[in-house]
Amino acid sequence: MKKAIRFVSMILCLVLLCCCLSSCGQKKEEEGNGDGDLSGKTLTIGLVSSLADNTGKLHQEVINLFIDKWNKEGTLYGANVKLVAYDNLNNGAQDTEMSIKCVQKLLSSDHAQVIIPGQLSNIIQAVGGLINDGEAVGIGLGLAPTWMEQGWEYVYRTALNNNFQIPSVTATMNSLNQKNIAILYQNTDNCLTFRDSIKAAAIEDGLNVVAEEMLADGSGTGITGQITSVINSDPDTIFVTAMGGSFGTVVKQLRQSGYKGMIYIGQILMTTEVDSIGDEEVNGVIMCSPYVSYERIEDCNNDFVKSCLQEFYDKYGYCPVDDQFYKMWDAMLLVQNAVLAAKSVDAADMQKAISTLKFDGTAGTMDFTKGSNECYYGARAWVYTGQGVGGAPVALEDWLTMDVSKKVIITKQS
Amino acid sequence: MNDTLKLILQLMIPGLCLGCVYGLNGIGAALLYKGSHTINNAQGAVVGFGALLGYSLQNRGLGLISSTIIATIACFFVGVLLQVGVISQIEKKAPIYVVIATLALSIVITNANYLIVGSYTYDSAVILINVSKYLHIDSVNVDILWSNIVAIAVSFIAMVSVHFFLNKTKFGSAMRAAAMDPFAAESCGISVVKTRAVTWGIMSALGALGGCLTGPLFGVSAGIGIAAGAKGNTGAVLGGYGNMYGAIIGGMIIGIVETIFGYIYSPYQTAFTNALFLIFILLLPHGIMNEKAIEEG
Repeated sequence: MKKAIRFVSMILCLVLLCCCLSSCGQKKEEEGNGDGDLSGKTLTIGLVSSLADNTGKLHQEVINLFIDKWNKEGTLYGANVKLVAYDNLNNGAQDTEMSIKCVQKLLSSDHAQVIIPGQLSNIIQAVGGLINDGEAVGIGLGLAPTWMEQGWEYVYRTALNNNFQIPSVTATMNSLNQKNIAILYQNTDNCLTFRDSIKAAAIEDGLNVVAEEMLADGSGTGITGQITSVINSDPDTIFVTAMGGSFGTVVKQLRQSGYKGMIYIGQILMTTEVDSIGDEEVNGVIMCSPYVSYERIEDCNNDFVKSCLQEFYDKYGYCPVDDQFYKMWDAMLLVQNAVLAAKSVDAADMQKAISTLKFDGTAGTMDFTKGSNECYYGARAWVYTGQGVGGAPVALEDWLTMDVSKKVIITKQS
Repeated sequence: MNDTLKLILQLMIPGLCLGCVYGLNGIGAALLYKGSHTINNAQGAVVGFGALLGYSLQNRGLGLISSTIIATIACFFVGVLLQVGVISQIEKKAPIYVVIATLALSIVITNANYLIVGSYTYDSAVILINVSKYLHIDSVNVDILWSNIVAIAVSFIAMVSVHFFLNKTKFGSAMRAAAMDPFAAESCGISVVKTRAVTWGIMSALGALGGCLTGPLFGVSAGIGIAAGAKGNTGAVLGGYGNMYGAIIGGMIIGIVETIFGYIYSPYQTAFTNALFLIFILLLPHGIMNEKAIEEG
């Protein structure tokens, strides 16, 4: 009897083993047959973000907009696309440890072929290696150069690397004869590298860094000392690098403390922040960012961006003001083009295909053919001036050539 | 000389303003510790909630003053509800659970704040006196924000009101008696449950007031109270944990020292402030007011 049980158990084990082996082999074939018909196949997009706040909500909305469209129209050769989103918010802040666990789960349990680890560079730095080793296509929305310097083959960026923005910033300062600059920065990976790069570029371009102060946190409390120190150093201009969403508080406090000069900020100033600062006091703020936050879609004069905003508005009934919208939109364009070029939803096939891609994105042409896994290389900046109050800011190049009588010129604090 | 005076004013007034907000939070922490030998980790979240409530009332057409008053009163009842609905139930089982429970409440309220209003910073009404945002002092050529001055003045009024409430009213005396010896107070007919609920109410109301006062200065966001709540506690320990007046002084010291360190060497602003706090506590374990509530516990 015992022998019979042992024999049956062995047979069962063998059958189970065969099933496992055959299903493993099938999976590869299922994802990557490369014949252009992907019906019945699934593309899983993994998202790690702060799902409870505006950022995570916006990330999900943009991804779901694309997924609904793809699945309805069969855009990706009939492949079924699904989103698996995990929250990494811990006590009001995105947490690295939680993000690592989320990415591990996305790789091991959900078998996500595409993973988007959000917009914080320190988190992308922490999970990028996992994504790369797991051979999933990773798309980071952060701006720091550091994580892209790791040489991860599978990790891409659909935003503008801060380092590519810097030469135009110092060139603008020089052209406006702003020789003495002060820097305010936050203690994050992105801001620290931005601070170091702008300092190095400023010195190289013959500018003087007269003060640099660290902002304690994003809440805005307790930064009066830093602001007083910066203003008392009598700078020609101030450069601020901080987390997205924190600029409003810093600019507001600079203006409240009596600073009237120009302020360069390292990212977008959202319309909600403009409201917070006040229309008049936002004048003289230069946003070093390829994007603009629009209160109304009509304010946008770029047809491509306008159509993206309109599509989003038609689905969700509001105009997104956060630059995360543009970065995630571009990430989805990358996924779409990668699948169409690879004719496969296998991550390895997509990775190979991405190096041949060049297409239009929200900040210009997204060119992945240069082999750096970056796509944007051109800097853009926008100025809030008397012309822009109540509407969109003016492009820096237009502002520089504008008739003096039409623009608010702010050269020095009062 | 004028430059030095100007710098002192530039740093001291905003520092004092921050310190007053910390002090408001510290008063609640001190009252709570004195009364029930526990701490409230959810104070910062309630500050955020109060500030957001004040902001949303402003959005509905109310002025800064009326929205602040309504938000403060509403948060008084939020505090009472928290105590009656959650804390008093947990307290019966084990007092230490209250610390953990308030930590959980903090996360729940903060996340709810984020869920409702998101992570943006919103504009609060600006305080104008005679249509000017600033008080200009000619002799030293310095502009001081009215918002700072008003925040300091209102905080002082609130602190004095709490002082009179505790010392000159029957219920205040009952609260002090219940804090000193709950069993004896109970046997004298004082409802300790009621006094503790009011303590929580006062703590939440003062926090909300602080949140509304900082709105015109920094804007309003879901996370606005997190730092203020924690620093209020730190200030309360510095002043002598359990002593209301010590909490006010401690809060002000933290606010001013933090601002000065921010000016001197910003990368270590928080580290220096906390190191100073540690040194202070090592040398003066009962705080500035030599409060013995900790030993009594």
